[in-house]
Amino acid sequence: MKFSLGTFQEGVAKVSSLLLSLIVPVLLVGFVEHSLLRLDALFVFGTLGVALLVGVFSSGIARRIRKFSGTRRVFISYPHATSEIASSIAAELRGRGTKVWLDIDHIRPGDSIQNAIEQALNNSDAVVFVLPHKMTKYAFKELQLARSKGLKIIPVVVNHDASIPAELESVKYVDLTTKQGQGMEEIVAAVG
Amino acid sequence: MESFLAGSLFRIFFVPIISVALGIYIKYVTRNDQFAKFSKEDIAVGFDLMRAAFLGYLILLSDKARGLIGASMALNDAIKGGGATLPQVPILQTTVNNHSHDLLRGVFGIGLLMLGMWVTSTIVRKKGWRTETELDLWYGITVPLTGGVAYLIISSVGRKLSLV
Repeated sequence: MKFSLGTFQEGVAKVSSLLLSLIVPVLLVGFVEHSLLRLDALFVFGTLGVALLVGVFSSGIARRIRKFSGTRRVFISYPHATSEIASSIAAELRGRGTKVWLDIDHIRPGDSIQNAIEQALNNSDAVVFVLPHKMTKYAFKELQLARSKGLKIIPVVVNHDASIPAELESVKYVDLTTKQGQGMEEIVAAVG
Repeated sequence: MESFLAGSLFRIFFVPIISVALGIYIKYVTRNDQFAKFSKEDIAVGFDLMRAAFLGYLILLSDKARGLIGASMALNDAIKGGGATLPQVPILQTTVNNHSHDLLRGVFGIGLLMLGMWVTSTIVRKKGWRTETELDLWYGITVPLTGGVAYLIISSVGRKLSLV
């Protein structure tokens, strides 16, 4: 982890706002009453602490709640030259009860592509990333967004000359170049 | 149990929390199926809590106003009643004075709560968005949520603290 003045300042800002958000309401109430004891300090600190923890761990809480809902949501990122394969992956996954987001089904003329993709990634649990012949800036952006959201990424190779980006070099990929049936099963199993 | 249900802690603190929790659940289960994933933004209910706390505070103020009207009418009756009721007049005058002061403090409290909501909304607007659709964990979710709970505490113990 890199350390810079920016991260230090951000850390100081976070700690200060944490202290402020905790102390200010208590001081305000305490000031009015002239006695913190009468306020039942445990109740005040306890509820504020719970609120703080819920906020800080909101991503994890949301992830756990999602697990209860059962249905998995998958975003398929693919180069348009492989749209047929992407559609067949989508059909296979949908057949197994997975909700699939494919751009051709959800982006209409006039829609902001970036917003739609970002929203779709926000609503996804995993990304099936069909590797292109050459990584484009859009493919990079989708990959980076998916990584920043902590989504599971399942690389899929459909051509022997597919380029594997450095971010996915250590991730096991699914090979659809030879045994397609087995590859599909691997994708379904990886999605969970 | 009855005293807990009748108390301002339940009415002003727990009822809003239950209402907001139900709101999260209902929004989640009725959402368009395409966007049905539960996300951290669903937990960002700080402003809902603040709004509920603010309304609770107004309810407490309304109770005080009702008390003031009752005490004023009783004071009028005591003055009109003459000799027999005159000893009650000083007590009723004190009650009316107290209620009047509480209401004034309450108006000041409303101003503070509104200022707090404005400050928090500005923080969220300026620093609370990580991307166009995703809230920042700290400034977008945690700060308003903690603020909302602080508002509920202030409102629910407001009567105890003579804030209203």
